[in-house]
Amino acid sequence: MAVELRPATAVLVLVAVLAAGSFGSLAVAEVGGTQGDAESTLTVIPLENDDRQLWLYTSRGLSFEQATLPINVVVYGDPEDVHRGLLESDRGNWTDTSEDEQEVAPDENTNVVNPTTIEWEVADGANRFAYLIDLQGGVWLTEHYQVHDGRYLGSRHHIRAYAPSEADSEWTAMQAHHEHWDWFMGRHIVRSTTESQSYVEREFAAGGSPDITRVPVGADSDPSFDQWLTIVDFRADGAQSALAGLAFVLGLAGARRRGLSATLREHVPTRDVRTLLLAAGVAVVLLFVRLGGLSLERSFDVPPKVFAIALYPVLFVGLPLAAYLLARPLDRSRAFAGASVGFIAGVLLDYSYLGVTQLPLDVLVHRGALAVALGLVAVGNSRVERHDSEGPDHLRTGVLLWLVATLLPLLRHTPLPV
Amino acid sequence: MSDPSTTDSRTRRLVAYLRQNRDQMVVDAAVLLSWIVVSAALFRILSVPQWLHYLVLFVGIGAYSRLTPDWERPYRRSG
Repeated sequence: MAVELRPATAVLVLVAVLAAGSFGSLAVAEVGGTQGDAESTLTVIPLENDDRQLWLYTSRGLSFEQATLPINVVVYGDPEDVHRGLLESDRGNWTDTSEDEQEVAPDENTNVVNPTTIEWEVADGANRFAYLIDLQGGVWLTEHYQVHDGRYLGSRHHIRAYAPSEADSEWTAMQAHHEHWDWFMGRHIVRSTTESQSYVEREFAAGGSPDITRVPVGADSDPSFDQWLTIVDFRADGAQSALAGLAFVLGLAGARRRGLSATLREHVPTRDVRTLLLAAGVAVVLLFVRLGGLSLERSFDVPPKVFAIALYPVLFVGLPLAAYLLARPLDRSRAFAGASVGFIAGVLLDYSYLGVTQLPLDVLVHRGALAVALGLVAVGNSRVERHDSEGPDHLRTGVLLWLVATLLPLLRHTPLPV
Repeated sequence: MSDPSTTDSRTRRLVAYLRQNRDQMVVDAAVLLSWIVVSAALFRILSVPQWLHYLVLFVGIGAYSRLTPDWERPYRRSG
């Protein structure tokens, strides 16, 4: 039985919901913005030769409630030398992160209250703040600099470095994480902090002979601890400048060998070939966008966000269009299987190219919905469906699902509570 | 002016299709956007994991699509 609704009524309902949603989320934000006197219970990092202490976490705003990824490396030595050492290192390929290469869009799933939670984070481009506590109180620090090793539209190690404002200061606190660009979410997803921590440790170990130790950090009252903190000390041998000189080159990991050849053999039945063609077509669109974005980023000195915006429509329109057009000669089940399996294969190839081996559950469900949507769009134009006017309209279900699943992440840029 | 039922031009068929289903598409867009916002708010209040929200959200779209009128083709279905 079909439920009918007039357009005017539906739009009125939408306006009411949007108004309530925006108003509601603003009210929630204001309540959340009030900051309690939480300083006494903060987990802190003690600093050598400094009376002050550093809060373990970075924050999305100037409050402790917005805590996100923990600081995982503290480097003793002149901050400028450390910065220069990273940039000049031969081992990694660190470059300063310009404003154009910082992430966009706020949303994080990090739960710092429970340290056993895997720290999946959808990274936010806005600043992250560190909190420096002294006897008089505390002060919020913004990033002293940011460096990254890797590509904006691919995957990269990203460090946010914090240093005190005094000229004679001797320490740099770093928050290192590994992240990859998620084309459908339109932002970076942080996969790991520990992997980048190890990467940075190796980086420093290769560049001189600093003392490198790992210490557990947690609240005194808590026998379990929050996390391992890496301490790199260059003061012992004064070898900061040797960081660059002594670095040696290791082969870059990841043999990036891939091949996507839909070998069409003569003994395979025609409809199988066409199903394969559909699957390959969908996968190719997906991989084309990833590789195209990366090669554009490599070739032109333009902010990578420009390419992200330019290439997103190719995904948004190109994927359903490829599924729709290539499914024409197929029956329903082959059309569905071809499009959805092709999409999943494309996603898996993309992730293995980026070296991503674990995914948060919500991303998994989201990709599953996209695969089903593409499958339904393909069914909608399959040979059988076009001749059978009875039965449900799969094309409509597919298109609606596709629209919601692709537009949902973009709605995060609005004040709506999504 | 040619009858959309006999034209072979893809663009023209698409335009005819969109015109035919305009009202239903407006309803669909409005209802789904409302559904996104309402479900997100509800799940946030209940503090349910995001993947579960996505699952309910997407299944809800399938159910909505089954219960409401289809988009109709203004031209004959052809091979």
